Amino acid sequence: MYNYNNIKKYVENTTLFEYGSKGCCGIDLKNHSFLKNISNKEVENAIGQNLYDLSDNSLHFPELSEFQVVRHFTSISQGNFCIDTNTYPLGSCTMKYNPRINEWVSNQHHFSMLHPYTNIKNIQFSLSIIFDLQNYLKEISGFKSISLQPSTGAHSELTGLAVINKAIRSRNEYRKKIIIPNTAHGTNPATAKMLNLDVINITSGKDGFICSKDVLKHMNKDVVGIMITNPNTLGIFESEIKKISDIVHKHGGYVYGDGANLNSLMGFVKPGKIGFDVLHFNLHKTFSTPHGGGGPGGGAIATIEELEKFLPLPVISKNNAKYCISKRSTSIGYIKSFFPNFSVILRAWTYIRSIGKKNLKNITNIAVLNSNYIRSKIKHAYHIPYKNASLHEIVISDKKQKIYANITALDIAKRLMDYKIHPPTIYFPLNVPGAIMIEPTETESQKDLDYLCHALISIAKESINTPYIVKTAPHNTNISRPNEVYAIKNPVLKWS
Amino acid sequence: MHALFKTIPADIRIKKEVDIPFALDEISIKHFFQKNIDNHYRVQFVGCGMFKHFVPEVVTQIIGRGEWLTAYTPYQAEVSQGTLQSIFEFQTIVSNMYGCEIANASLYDGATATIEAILMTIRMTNKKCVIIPTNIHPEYLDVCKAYAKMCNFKILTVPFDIDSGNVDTHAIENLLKNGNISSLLYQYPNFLGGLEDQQKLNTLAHTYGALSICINPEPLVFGSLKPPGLYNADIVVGEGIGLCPFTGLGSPGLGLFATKKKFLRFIPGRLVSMTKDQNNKRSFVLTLSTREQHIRRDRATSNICTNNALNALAFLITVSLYGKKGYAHVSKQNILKNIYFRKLIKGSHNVRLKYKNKFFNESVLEFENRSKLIHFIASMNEKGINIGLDLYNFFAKLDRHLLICITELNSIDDINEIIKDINHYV
Repeated sequence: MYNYNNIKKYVENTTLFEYGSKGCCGIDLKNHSFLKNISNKEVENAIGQNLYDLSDNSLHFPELSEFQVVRHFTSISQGNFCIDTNTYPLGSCTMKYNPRINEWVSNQHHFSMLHPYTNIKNIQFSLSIIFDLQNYLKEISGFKSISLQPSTGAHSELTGLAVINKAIRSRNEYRKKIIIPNTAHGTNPATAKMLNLDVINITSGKDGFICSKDVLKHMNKDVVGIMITNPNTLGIFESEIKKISDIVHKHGGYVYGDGANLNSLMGFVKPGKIGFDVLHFNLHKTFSTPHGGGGPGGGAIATIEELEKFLPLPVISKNNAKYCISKRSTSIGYIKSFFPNFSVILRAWTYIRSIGKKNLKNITNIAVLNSNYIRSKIKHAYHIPYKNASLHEIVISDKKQKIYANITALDIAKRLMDYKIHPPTIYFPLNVPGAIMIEPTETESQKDLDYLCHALISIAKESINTPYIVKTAPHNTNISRPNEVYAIKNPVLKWS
Repeated sequence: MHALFKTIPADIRIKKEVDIPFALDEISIKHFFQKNIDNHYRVQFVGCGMFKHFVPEVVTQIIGRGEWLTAYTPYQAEVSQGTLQSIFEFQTIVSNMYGCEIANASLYDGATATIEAILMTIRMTNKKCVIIPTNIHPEYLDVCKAYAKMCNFKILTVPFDIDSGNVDTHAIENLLKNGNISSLLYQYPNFLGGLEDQQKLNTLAHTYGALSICINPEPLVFGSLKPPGLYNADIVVGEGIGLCPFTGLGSPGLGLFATKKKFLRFIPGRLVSMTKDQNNKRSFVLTLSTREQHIRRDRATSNICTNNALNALAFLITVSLYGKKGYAHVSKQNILKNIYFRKLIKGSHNVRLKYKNKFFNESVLEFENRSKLIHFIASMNEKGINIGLDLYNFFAKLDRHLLICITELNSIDDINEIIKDINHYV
């Protein structure tokens, strides 16, 4: 008679708009008594007559108490895997632990209340943090110039390519193409398109490297340069980088570095010293600022000195012991409103200062060690498409499982959820069919890595012995394989 | 260990240690940030596209939970239902607040949301020219100008009417008549706090075959006034940071984006849809990803990947706490306090209200001359009050004018105090 399952189903996925009661409100409302003396006529004179009545019954807007809001958002949060609760080896995303001291710093009241239009004398300390971080990142990457203005990686790419475009135009040249390898992140070609650059795709060779000969073949006076991720998305270091950059430079082009994988180079290689002209950083990857379910992140672009004059505004610098904000006429201009992502900068600053010069290289060491540890443990269970040593991430594929039992990368990913592990990145990079891209980061303990390998090896065995279990996974999550095709055909994008 | 790095050629590796400072422990970091503090204002009267509002403590506490803070983009639906459901609820709130049919999962900030809207109208109409009145946020206009050069589109700016502070509809109509315009932009409330005639502007745009984009830097206005979607605006973009707990230096922001359902396939950024799982259970997924960079690459509608999800969550929680009643109430309180302030200003001999048209939250005060204005701002700074924006920073013609913003966070005592100061210092 009492069907627990029906009730449970209802409770688990209930939206904000389905409970609460009319007139309920989660904040304390008090009116200043003498504001009551202001008449409706005066209100009408001030704002006009086009009033919007939120209390309209057909309008979906919450009506909950404070406690109901707390319970709602706490309980739905439990439908997330996150770094704090699960191994989260999402390749190319560097899901490392987010130290909580960073949160303490960024939540300080005197930072969180700062208005962007504040007398510059009163924000000297805040500017000093931005300025310091600029210097640390320059030193880590080996570049002379930097801007922290971009919001994210993709925004950095747009800014960086715009800088390159502007530099080329300043020589009175117009170039309309850019070389992008097939291993690149999707944001690379999408960014190029926004800037009206046509993409010349080159494919990496059998060993996973870009071949400098391919670059030579395509590089000419119509090409602004190349976008390279190094190590590439296979986790392999592009060892021909110097040759490639020489070719690009010889033809008057520039080399853009996608810094998503910087976590494998810190302390070992300075991209600014090996032929890159522009490099972007993802503060939310390498520098431990939280991903927050998809942002806000923090971007930044470092460049060679020659490109500094084109960097976005405002310029934050130090002059006679004072921090200043300035403009320059040669810049590409303003790419967002106000200052760079300040709360993210505070966290990244704190991270770098907590790590310090003696430990920086260890981050890279352990990140690379962890990924190779996984590689060596699972190499018999899975097909590894590229034999070259990889750095901080490893790409395997579903080839073996597909042949035995038609088990795909997606099935393996879904089954990992039953082991309480967040799936790695799948079907990327595109040059590996059925790719599974694993980036453990330096913060996973050996025990966690062992468990991850155990899970992967078990799934490989299950693929032979009990393939239906893998094929229909996940079994231990609240929901399983939501119907994406249905969503595309009948998108329901709001509660109604 | 060295074997692991053998693919990196020896001549490429650095020989010296990276020269950053030595490590600080947690105690030292705390000391450092307790000792060094920027001069903190006691009271603020600045809005200018960053309207700080009341954010209940619940919001800070909830977004600090690891499940929200340390998850990534919800690509794997089964283990990201929390984030996905919150985005679905966020889309509902934003579209209802703006009177639109659909909204996306957020963009970086108001300025870049404006850009995404412009680029969307260019994709839809294949026309590369937009009209922008100069009373939108000057920083947004700067961003538009930079992107116009980067992405190759044209901006026709229309000077606003200096006497009313509102857009010059005749000048706009003349430009629209010439045709080939992809979209007409306007800001509501505009940068000087004025409320434009939405009905007229949207009708104008549509009459001449252009799309309309409304920029809203202050969502709280729609706790009281009819939103742009109900005036048939095609795209509404906004800045939601004022309802998030962290607003340090105005960044990271929260770009809001809402539009009509028929434009669905042109929308930039992420979208979440409600659907069913294989056991028929209600669930949430990212949808229409074929518009996005990770699938479509150089044919995507935008390059956006990471957006500002945690801020979107904070915004959603704040609005949920406010609820229907609270949102209307706080919005009204802003209006009442501004009316109270303007009444007192009328009694002052030292300054006058420059614009007396319909407004929300911001007023332009005209001083006798520039030096009096400068002196007043400096005196207030001494007292620990950030009194507002010297409009000369952005508009050469408004050289003795102060843009002052009053919200629910300013107490009646604060307002009385600055009225007294205006009479005393000016």
